[in-house]
Amino acid sequence: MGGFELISGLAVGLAFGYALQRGRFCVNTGFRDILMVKDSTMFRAWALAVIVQMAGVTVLSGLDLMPITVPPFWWAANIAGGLMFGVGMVLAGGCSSGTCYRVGEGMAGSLLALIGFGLGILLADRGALQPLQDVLRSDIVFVGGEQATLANVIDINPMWVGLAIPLAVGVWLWRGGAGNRQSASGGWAWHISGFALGAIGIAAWLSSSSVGREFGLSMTGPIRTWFVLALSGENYLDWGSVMIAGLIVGSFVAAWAHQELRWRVPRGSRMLQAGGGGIVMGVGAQIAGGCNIGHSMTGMSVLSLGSVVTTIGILLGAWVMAYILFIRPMAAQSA
Amino acid sequence: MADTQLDMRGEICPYPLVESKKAVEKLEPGTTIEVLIDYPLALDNVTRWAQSAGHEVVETRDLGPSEWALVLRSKKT
Amino acid sequence: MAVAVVAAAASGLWRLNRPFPEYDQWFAAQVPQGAVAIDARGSLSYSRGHIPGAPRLWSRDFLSYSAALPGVLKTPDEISAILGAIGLAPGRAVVVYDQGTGADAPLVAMVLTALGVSAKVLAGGFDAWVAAGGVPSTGQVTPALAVSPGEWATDQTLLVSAEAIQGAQSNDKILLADARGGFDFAIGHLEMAVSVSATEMAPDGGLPRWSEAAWVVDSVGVRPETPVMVYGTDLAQAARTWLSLRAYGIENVQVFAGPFQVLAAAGLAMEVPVAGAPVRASSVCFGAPVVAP
Repeated sequence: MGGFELISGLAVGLAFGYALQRGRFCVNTGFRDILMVKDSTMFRAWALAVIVQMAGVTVLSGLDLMPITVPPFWWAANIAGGLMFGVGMVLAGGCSSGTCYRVGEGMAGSLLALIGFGLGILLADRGALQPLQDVLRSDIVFVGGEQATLANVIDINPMWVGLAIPLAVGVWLWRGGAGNRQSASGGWAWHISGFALGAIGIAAWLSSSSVGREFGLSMTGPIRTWFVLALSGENYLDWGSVMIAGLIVGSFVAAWAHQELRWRVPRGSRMLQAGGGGIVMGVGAQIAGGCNIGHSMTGMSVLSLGSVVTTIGILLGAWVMAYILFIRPMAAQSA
Repeated sequence: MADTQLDMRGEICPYPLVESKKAVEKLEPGTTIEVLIDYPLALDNVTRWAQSAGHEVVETRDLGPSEWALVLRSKKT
Repeated sequence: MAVAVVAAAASGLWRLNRPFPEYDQWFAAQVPQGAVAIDARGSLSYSRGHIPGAPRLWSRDFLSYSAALPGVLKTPDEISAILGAIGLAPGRAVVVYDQGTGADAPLVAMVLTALGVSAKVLAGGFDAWVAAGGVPSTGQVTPALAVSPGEWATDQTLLVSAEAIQGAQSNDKILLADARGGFDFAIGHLEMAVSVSATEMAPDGGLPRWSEAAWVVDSVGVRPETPVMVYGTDLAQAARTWLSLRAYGIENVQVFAGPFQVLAAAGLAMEVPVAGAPVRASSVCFGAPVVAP
């Protein structure tokens, strides 16, 4: 592994973990709270992060300054994997990036979820569920010989789409007003974490591509490389692997610097729930080819249709699970 | 001193929010509850929910690093 | 923290867009005064229009296609005779061009280099030359002088035999590079070989792309002095990988003087990966490049 790969991966990972922790950024919370408590604050942070990255990546790749890879549109895998991931992340109490940064803060439940996540990935990638992954991934829809994107499916130059969407969503966010800018716990407001994460995503694309890994931030693949190394000795560590390690350290540093570091252990049944949720998340993410970061941030930034479909799947899976687990019991109790 | 106490320390997301919501909605209007929280996101979430649902945030007491006592008063319907 | 992120982004941007270290030694933007341009394309393309004064030297003219050994490089004497026939004298600086796809020029440049000729590839090929305002001619080019075959200095080390490749398989100091990528590599390659795909290294007509080369260097761990041996489906493909590696600054690159099937038939140890195992594993979740239909 070269020096630049190591240093840039660590730098981006540290910043990513730090920003996640300060922003308390969690797509699970973001998607779920829209339904559960009609709160869209975290969702806005995610949307802002996506459009900032989308605009930056569109410009860089449009000017031919940076190569990009578009996640494939394995429609069956995207849908099934996305749904599974959504269900799993509600059970685990956090999406994949949320789980990782919480490990850095000292949450034991998230540590178990992370272990489950890695095992779930291996289960689908090379374990008993590999045939399922192969079947679901067997049909890829291409558009004109290329990976399907929001732009080529309607035959428009990606520069237009990649800048129009940020503009439209940006206007929507702006008109939504300041919203809940204050954080009772002293964290970053949603617009700060949205911008920061978007910028970090762009830096990730640039430094990762320049060492041959032509992609941006992602969680599933990097976590897989560590678990594969630990369980079978095969070394596929690369920029992404370094970035993930940096993430956990960055979150640790952020928590420690703000006195939010604390070993938190939930009761036993919750630990099991987190671990089980982690496994389901891992299977879903591996089958879909990405998770809430790989698809719902990085893949969306290159307009991948597969990523859009996966993200919708994650949203629906999360809503169904949140309804079953929390919303319906709460409604029954209030009645 | 709050009328009731709910200890949500150590809980994974979203149980602090879910349990707090349940507990506050069960309160007599105008009575208070003290929720013990040790996770920053949970503090944000519960506070935001309480404010948007019309309940009063009486105080947020620091109990130590990453530990708070959030006192809410159930709204008078 | 913000500084670190901006620094990572800025240096990534710089790395992605800087030229290869040895680019100027191997590529030329135009044909300089006094240099000979050589057209490496087939006769049909040549007859439709070529750079004025450029003799034709089709890359495949260097290869012999016997039933037993298809696509193997001809002997140095045969090659010298071919070069003599087009009037190329040793000591002339040469710029080789093809259409712009990299199908022919790298192979000719490689063979010329093996014969001690300083040969560069015209960046963007004939298409770029026309786009820059060049006016093609369709006339035949008569050789200016006849050169006897014995006048060429040959670099005996650039092109190697199957024995040398076999030796590389058991020498972990030598990187054995397979110029094929993706599916071809996946269904069977030489044991100990790593995919350094010519197509991925140079998707735009032979012009190498930084991020792919950076993967080879940074992840595979090749250093400028690391000895590398290249083989490919055919010599033209291997030559493309050779050219990209040389332009990157890898000094010691040797090429097997024939197609992959000769190595396979010679009984060298082969590796057939398990179905589903990543060809070029990385932490990008969707794995090896998907081959479009």
